[in-house]
Amino acid sequence: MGENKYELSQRAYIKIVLHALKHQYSAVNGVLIGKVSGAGSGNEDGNSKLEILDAVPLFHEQLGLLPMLELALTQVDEYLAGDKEGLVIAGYYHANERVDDYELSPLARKIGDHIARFCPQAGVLLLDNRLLGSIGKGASKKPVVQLYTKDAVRGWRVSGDILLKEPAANSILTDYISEKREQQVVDFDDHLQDISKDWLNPDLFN
Amino acid sequence: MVGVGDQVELDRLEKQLDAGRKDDIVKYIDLVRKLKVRRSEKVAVHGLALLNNPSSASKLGDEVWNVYEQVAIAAMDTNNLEAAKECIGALMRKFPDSNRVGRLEGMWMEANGYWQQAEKVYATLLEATPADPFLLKRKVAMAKAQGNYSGAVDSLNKYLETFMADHDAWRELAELYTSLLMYKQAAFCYEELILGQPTNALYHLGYAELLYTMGGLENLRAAKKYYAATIELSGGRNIRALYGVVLSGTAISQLLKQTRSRNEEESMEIVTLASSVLKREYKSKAPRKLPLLSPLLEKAVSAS
Repeated sequence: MGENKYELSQRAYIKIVLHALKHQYSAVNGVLIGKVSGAGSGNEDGNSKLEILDAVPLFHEQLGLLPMLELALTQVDEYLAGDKEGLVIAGYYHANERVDDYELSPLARKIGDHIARFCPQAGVLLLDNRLLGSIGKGASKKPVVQLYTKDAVRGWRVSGDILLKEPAANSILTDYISEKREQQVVDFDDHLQDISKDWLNPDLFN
Repeated sequence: MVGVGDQVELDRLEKQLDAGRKDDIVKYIDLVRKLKVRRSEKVAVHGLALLNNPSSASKLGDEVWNVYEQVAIAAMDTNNLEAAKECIGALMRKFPDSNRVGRLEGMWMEANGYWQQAEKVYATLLEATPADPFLLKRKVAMAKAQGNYSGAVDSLNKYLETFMADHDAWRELAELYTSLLMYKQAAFCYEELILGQPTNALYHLGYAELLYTMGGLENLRAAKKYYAATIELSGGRNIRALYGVVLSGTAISQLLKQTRSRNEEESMEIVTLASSVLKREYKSKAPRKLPLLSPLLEKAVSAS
């Protein structure tokens, strides 16, 4: 029995980090979108590859409440069903409120569980807030997220390093940060405030 | 909670500043202070420029001390602790025995993570003014900043025993409870808020969301009522509340079907109304998203 492999695309990664940077005073979260392939991709026995290809930023306020989470997941699911690319909800990302908090909180675990119902191999990405400050400065290629996977017995546990599909992701991110592109990120909270705002962020990378 | 008119003015002034026009810095800083919004990066940068320019600073007259305080806090919020220290220094020279300036000293300690020193500063100040709400709230803030959420809850509960009309404090407590997954206790906070301000739509909304999160037939029924109240109190366009009515109505109907309670019926009239408002809003403002609502709205219709 092997380990599932997880790969994170630049598109998803940058959205996640920009979302967190836009709302530095609060926790943020969102769903991961991707596809599962490889042997045993219908179950949790390993040897699957989970590619996280995109992310939908969800909330920066009241993360602990259920109704809008359910609503958002329904709509994302519906969008993916109609999109014909064969993508599914593949995980959850979370950034804690405090800079030195690198625990996956009970709340984050709970939401992770909820989202894992869509995909047994779902991964949870927790932003490492301590590393956020250094993105703009160093030449580090390491992603500022930590992967958690779910073990049937022990729940969500730190998994190995997640692979960044495009190694230059951090330097692209640095460029975006220097032009304050995080201000353009739209999440589901923003959409509920003003429905003309699109949580798919179609123009974010133009 | 900022009114629409104020928000428009705030955005306008911000755009001006971003474009490099400095004429209305004072207006902007004053508005931020009045509305108590968090715009620390802009306030710190532009406020410091204002204060460091002798002619513009002197034009402020006595207002300059308010600006020093505001900029000190903004600087701490953006990790510019050196600048904060300078502002606090200026205030200390002008008001050497001030409790208010002492608080800023305590906050500076907090910003550095010198928790014990901050506690000492506040303890000394509390000796002189034991019922100072600001100092008591710093205690809560420090606990929260150190990740001690249950400690923050305890301190905040104690604070509210004295200052039970502090709505912001009740909301903060609700948020703390929610992050601890203590929904019932968070709901209690909202009950207090609604008692205090029965026409505030956002309190009804917050309560409804908690009730829905707690689940079960009774709570869902109550959630639907409070979502409905929110719609009424907010002029009928609050999107969260409209969705909330649909979600809770659907959930109630499903529960009733599962338990096959034939005697209990739920009026779905409001669900139908909310659905049509949502459809109308999306058609006009977000037509590409309208198809994504269909399954939800159809489910609601079929449940009735």
